[in-house]
Amino acid sequence: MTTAVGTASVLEAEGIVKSFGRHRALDDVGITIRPGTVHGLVGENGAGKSTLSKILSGVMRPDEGVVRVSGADVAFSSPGAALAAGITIMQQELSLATDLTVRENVLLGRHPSRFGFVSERRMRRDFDEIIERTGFELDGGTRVEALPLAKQQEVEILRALARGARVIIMDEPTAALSAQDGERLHAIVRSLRDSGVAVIYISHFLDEVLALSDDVTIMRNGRHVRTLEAEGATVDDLVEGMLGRVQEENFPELAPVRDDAPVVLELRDVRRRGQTDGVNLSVRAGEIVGLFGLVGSGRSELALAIFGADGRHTSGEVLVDGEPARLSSPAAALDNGVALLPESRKDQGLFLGMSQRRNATMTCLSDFDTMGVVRSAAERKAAVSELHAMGVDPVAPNGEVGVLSGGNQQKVLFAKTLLRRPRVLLLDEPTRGVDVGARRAIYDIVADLVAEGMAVVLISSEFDEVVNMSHRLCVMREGRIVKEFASQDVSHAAALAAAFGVSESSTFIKEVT
Amino acid sequence: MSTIAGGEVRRTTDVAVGDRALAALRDYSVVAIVVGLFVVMSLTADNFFSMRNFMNILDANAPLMLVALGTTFVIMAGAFDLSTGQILSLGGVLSAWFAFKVGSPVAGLAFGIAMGIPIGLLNGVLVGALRLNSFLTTLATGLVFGGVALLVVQGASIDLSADSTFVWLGSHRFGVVPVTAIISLIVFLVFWAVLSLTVFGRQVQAVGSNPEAARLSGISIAKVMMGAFMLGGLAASLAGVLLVSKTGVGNTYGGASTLTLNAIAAVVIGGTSITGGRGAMWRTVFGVLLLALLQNALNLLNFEPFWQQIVSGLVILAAIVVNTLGSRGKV
Repeated sequence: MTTAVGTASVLEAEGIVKSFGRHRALDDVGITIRPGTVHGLVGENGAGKSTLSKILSGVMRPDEGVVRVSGADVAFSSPGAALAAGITIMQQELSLATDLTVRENVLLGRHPSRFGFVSERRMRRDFDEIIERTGFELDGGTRVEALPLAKQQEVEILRALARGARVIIMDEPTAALSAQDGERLHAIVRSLRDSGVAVIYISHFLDEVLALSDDVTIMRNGRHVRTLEAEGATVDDLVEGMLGRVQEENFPELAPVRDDAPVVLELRDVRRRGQTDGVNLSVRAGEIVGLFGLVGSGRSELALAIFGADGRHTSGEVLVDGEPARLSSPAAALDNGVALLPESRKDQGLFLGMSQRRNATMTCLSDFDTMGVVRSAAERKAAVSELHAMGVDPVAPNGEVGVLSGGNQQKVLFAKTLLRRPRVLLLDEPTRGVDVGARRAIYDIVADLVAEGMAVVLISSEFDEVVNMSHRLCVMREGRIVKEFASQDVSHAAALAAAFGVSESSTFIKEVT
Repeated sequence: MSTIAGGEVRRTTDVAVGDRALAALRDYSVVAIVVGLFVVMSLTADNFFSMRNFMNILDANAPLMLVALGTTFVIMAGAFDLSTGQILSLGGVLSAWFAFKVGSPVAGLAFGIAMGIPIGLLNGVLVGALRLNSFLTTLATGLVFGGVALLVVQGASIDLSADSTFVWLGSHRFGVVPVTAIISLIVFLVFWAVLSLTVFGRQVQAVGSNPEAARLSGISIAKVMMGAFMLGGLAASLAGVLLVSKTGVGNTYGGASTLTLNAIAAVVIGGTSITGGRGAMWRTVFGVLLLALLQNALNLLNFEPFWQQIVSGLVILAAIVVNTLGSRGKV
């Protein structure tokens, strides 16, 4: 930290203004990125982080203001122009050609060719060169589709490096990663920094941002709040800047499970085909059981299996209120009082082009059905009241869901999942991509539901969330529950060790936690 | 202070009105184009503005209207039906064949219409239950249906033109109003109600909007597809029966493939999303009207056939550009 902020910059923006219709997304925002540093960018959803990063990377053009690269004014007309200047962005939705191989993706747009024919040999050589230079562990011949998300991100980073990127903007790169993969990505970010590449790191995980960054810029409501050095700053500092007030307690108090609470959900030997032993689990009324584990440990698959969405791949017994329930389809599960809030609201949960109201009532249209016709007035009333109850703001029954912020979309998804109150609620990553304020609102909703006697299974990759929002914590590995803890006295290290299947005192676990 | 505040408020409202006007123009561009074409034609072509001409347009385009209305369900559900023209051909042939066979024109007409249900259902089972690609599947089944139609007539045609009952449906008029136009209106009203007011209609939209989310919402994609293709088949066979009933000659329909594609074009021109999930039945009506008016206009203005083709193509292209840019939020 010998260079003071602002003296030398690889990328700089000043007085950026960007409006969408009446909404001013960015208002006189400036940022200065020093070469070879990690620059954290934090703020609630809608604070303008993504808009700013899109302007810096040429995806959008600012209405006013100036962007400078190494001190020279630039006006990017496209992401390609930004890339030519060494600026690239890794968005939450990766932009890889998934049908092609790793090698082809990395060299995409600059296939070495001879007389118009791609020279396979030269491609291999170029690729191996890049791999050697950067130290990534990637097999060039694998189709990208077959890679896990974490590896796909590495492909995208490698592609940026192959084109000589000097600034890489990462928008929520660890949101969908397991703890282990997240840690690996951090190592990559550090090595990028050490090799002189600047990284703009956007994340909701504030401690991650602090640990990783040299500078942190805080945004709120489309404005720049302040930029500070990460060293010496605390999470509370960031949250105060983001919210404009001191953060309240993060998690609501959960009422203890009553001793006489009946078992609502019981799983007996639920297993996927080809697996040696299954999952046994019971969840009582008013209880939240957290499922913790690495991505690929079978948590989401278990939730889908309980919900009857896994087809013929699953065997075993599911009992709801002591009655055997043949959950052969999601429709059957819903009829038995089991509801699922799926992992990806965009791909599995919501109908983005449809209205809030139609989304909210889609799982229980039969409740408003007279001879096949929807009783419109009753349906609308139920939808509006549930959307209000979930805190959607603003409730616009006929407004499209796709235009809402991530937090609001997630609340619509809660309304859709809860409109017909289930007995058993399966929550798969309920706060993914949701900002701090909306998060607390969602926790409160869940706490109220269990207080009413609902049985909840909570899947989350965030240890803090899963441990604070559950009574019991089950750790999964390879499709099985390998360890169970009482949530109030489990350490991050113990849970992680169980998830990895290693001893708690291993140096790896110590490093990661 | 109060003046400034007042000014602020008014300005935002103005912008809101402007935004809304823009959105309305995007959403209702097809209506604007149809109305515009209508006005221009009324002013420029002498023989355009007459009830008889309007009714002739509706009569001539009833088959396209019916097929397009049925196709709307399939496209809304996120699929394609490329066999509608062949279903139309087969439905028409079957009605003449059955009427001839049992000696009852009414039974023949009913049979031809009803056969659209199992035929459409077959498409629906293949696409919905077996999860086959709808584009290729219906291309193949269309070949089969067309072949069966040829098989039924054995290369000859079944002449029932002397049977006044058989030809009533396709050729009778109440005053100037043809029965075919009335049937189109009834089918529109029924289909509109099914798509807009029923649980099934919602589910069609949901499956087209996001099939995985629909599945996890407890919706059976198979059932929705079967329903959509069944209605598409039914509408197509009805259209075929009207065509055969118009002339009284049961023969295979030569323009089957063109009709299929025109129906899909009409749905999209109306503003229904080609990828499903977004659209409305009334939009299809305007899509068909646009194609029909254009055809009529070019005829009345004595355009050469090649100009007719070129202009039709350009207008369809323009409509699609407006819709596509509109759905990307750029217009």
